Amino acid sequence: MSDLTLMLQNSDGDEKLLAEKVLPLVYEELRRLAAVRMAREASGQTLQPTALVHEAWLKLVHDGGRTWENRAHFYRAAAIAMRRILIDRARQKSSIKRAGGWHRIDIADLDLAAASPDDHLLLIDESLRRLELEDPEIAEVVMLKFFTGLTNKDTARSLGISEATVERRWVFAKVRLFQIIRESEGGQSSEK
Amino acid sequence: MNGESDRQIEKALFDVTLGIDSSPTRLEFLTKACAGDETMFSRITGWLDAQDAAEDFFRTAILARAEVGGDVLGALDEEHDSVGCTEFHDADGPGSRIGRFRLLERIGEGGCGVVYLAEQSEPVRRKVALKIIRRGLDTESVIARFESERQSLALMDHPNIARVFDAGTTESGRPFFVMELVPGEKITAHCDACRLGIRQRLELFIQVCNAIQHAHQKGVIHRDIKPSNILVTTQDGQAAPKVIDFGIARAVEGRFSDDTRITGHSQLIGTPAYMSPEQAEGSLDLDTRGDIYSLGVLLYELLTGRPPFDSKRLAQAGMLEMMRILREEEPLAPSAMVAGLESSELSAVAANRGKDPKSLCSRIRGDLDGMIHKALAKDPQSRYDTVAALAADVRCHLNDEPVSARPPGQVYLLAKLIRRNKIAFAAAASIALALIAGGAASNWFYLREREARKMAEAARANEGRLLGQSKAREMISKASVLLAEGKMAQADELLLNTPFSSIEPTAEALHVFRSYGDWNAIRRRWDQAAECYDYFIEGTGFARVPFGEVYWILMAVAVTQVEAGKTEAYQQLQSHSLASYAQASDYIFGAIVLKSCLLRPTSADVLSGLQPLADMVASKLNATQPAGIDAQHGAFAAMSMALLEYRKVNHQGALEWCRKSLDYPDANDARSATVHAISAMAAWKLGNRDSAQAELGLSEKFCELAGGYEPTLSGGGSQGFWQDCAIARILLKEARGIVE
Repeated sequence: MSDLTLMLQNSDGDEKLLAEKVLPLVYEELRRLAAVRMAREASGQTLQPTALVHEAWLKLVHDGGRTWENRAHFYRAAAIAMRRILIDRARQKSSIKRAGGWHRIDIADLDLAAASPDDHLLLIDESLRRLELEDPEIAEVVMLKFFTGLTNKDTARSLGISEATVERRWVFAKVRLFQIIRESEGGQSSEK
Repeated sequence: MNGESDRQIEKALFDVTLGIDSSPTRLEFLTKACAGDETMFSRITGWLDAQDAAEDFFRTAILARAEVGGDVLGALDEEHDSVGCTEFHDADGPGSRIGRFRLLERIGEGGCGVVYLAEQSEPVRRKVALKIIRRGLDTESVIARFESERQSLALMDHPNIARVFDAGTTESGRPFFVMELVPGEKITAHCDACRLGIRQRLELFIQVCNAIQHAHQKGVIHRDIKPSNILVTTQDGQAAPKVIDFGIARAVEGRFSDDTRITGHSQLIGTPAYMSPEQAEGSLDLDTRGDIYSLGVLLYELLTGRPPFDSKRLAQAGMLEMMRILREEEPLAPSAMVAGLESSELSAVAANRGKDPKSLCSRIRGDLDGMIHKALAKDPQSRYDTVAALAADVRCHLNDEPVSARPPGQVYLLAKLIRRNKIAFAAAASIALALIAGGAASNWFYLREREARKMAEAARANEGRLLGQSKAREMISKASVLLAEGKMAQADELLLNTPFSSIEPTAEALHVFRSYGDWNAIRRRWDQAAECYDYFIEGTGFARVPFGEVYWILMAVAVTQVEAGKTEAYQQLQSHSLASYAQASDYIFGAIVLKSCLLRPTSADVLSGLQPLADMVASKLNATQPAGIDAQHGAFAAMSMALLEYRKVNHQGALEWCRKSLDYPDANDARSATVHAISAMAAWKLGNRDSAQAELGLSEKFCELAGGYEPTLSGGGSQGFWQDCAIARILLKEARGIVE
């Protein structure tokens, strides 16, 4: 039985804890993927988060652990890990001024139209923090769909809701995140 | 205070309002629904106003995610420079060996790899096509994805699908696939080279559809349907298309393609001309309807010589612009595309199809425009449900029967209105109606506490229902595959424990229930069969059963309802038949309607309603030179007439028709059993006891003989359909009750 299978079984569904353990594994997997990759030009291809997470899953977990319950845990943990990987990278490169400590960014003076890809991710990360407080069930869908890149079907199965609900929540999530970003941009306070 | 329930209400209202397409209606609806709650109103309109911009923002964001992802890898790459990033060497060429295969000749090249003719030496000596994936794809991932689909691929067995035998890794670490060798050229080139007319092109297209449908039933989606993946081989002068590369697009994530690719962006992308809008957007929720879209593009190109959107234009547009075109622009109808071609190109396109320019346009206009429009719908929900449905339309078109797709018109406009998914629309529509229609109802949605709780419960119940539905959908797909493979008992086990009420009437589900109904009926499980047919008829409506199949369904349903004792349903079936078929002019069909309606003693109204049909059948049978009547159908028709006369208490007439039926030089045990049963009853009523008993004995004997045949699902053959055996049993039972 692989390490991961054990971790999944021992984590009792505590995804935060699990993410701490899974993160190094996902990172490691990424490094390995990069190491065997041959041509530089295809870089955009291989880091489709979904592909990565699926493959990480396929490789890290042996057959004994492939139950859906385990997989749902893994996806949610991988989402946290993926988010951290992407945001760490974006933060290194972003031109956005950092204000108020290590991870807060000040988006008030950012021109949305001119935002770089890194800025884009940072904006989403930042607004997602607020959405997590305001509406956790919506934020959860963003984690799985945006950061892990799961399909509606897998998201639905991970959360135990229907695909139609996933789609509804995702539509709403996009609107709210966008509003939060724009409100901060204009220097207003958020809705609540 | 009531923050949480307010928010749930607001979100529900937002969702419902999104389903309404016209903005005045949206506003009217919201105003009433909010009933003066300004805060709620402005919050929801704020969401609505932000929606388009939010969607745009996230389209860019998803590209940003891919780019930053690429950066992460790039950074890791540098760390591992010494290990990775080896230059790509074309070490594998003709003459070299890869495992059990010797490469003979390079036969093709595509964006995702090079294809070689190769020879396999063991376990069998044969020639195969070996495709080596060329770019820097992670080999392990490609193989892992292929492995995950290997089982489904192995299930596919279809003459129009090239088999994928194996996948592996070359010594230089590149993934390769071993496929059945298909000597042929791509379908568009073949059609033009042979100057195939529209009919021949459509016939080829139907074969392609059959292959894709087969794969879909096995749970495999192609994802990269385009002319270069459909090769036409000629065997004994017969052209047969073969779909290649199944499972490979999935393994390499469908990211590469032949003709063009977009550079200047971190992401490479395949030929966009054949991609559905959802695929171009990078949606991962691809299902069979993406393939239906691509088939629509293929049909478009087969007819007009061009895909609906110009490949060059798409390739030169940026990524976002390309997505926008596919998502928003309506392509020209194929007939309009042809009409707009420059005259030299138009003559060439027409000549390749054996037409002159003008007749080509009019040939395409109408049905074909309509079918392609439906297959190319932006919203997957508006496309054909299944490839089989698309193929059925093409076939109907070839047979000059009406097709289900209509050229853009009223219906199309209404469909455009229903932009979002059907469930949302239904919900929106019912609530909107309640609110807008009844003034008193306008407060209905303005809920507080208690109502909010109720609503939340209802939402939960709805959630449960939807979950149930998606499970049921999965189950139906499985059952459909089992049925197609003839594994009835397994399908039975699956279906027995599913409440039919949870199943949506999709085309696939209806097909399953029809087959399952027949299967139950053959096993005389009448209650289950009746439930299946009820479901089938409710979902389809008799009017939409293809005419060629009405007779089959009609007999099956009639027999089942009578056997299951569903008197009321049987009466409804009689009224339906009288209303719809009393004017039929085909004597075979007329005779089937007669016997289906007369399985039980019936009212004078029904009898007189059937009289025109009976007159038609009788005059056909009595004509001095009955043109076009063969013995088998004649004998069956005479049997129906005998039954009618018996029901009309014209016993002498019944006996005469019985004799005529038996005089036809055709033997069918089930029919003989029925005829003798009718004879027995008529003779008894005429007081001829001895003859009646003799006839009853004969009926028993033939019925026993008829029961000895293994009933089949699909076919008649000389011993008739299972329905005929069932009819014999019903009438024999009635006769036993009459003759002492």
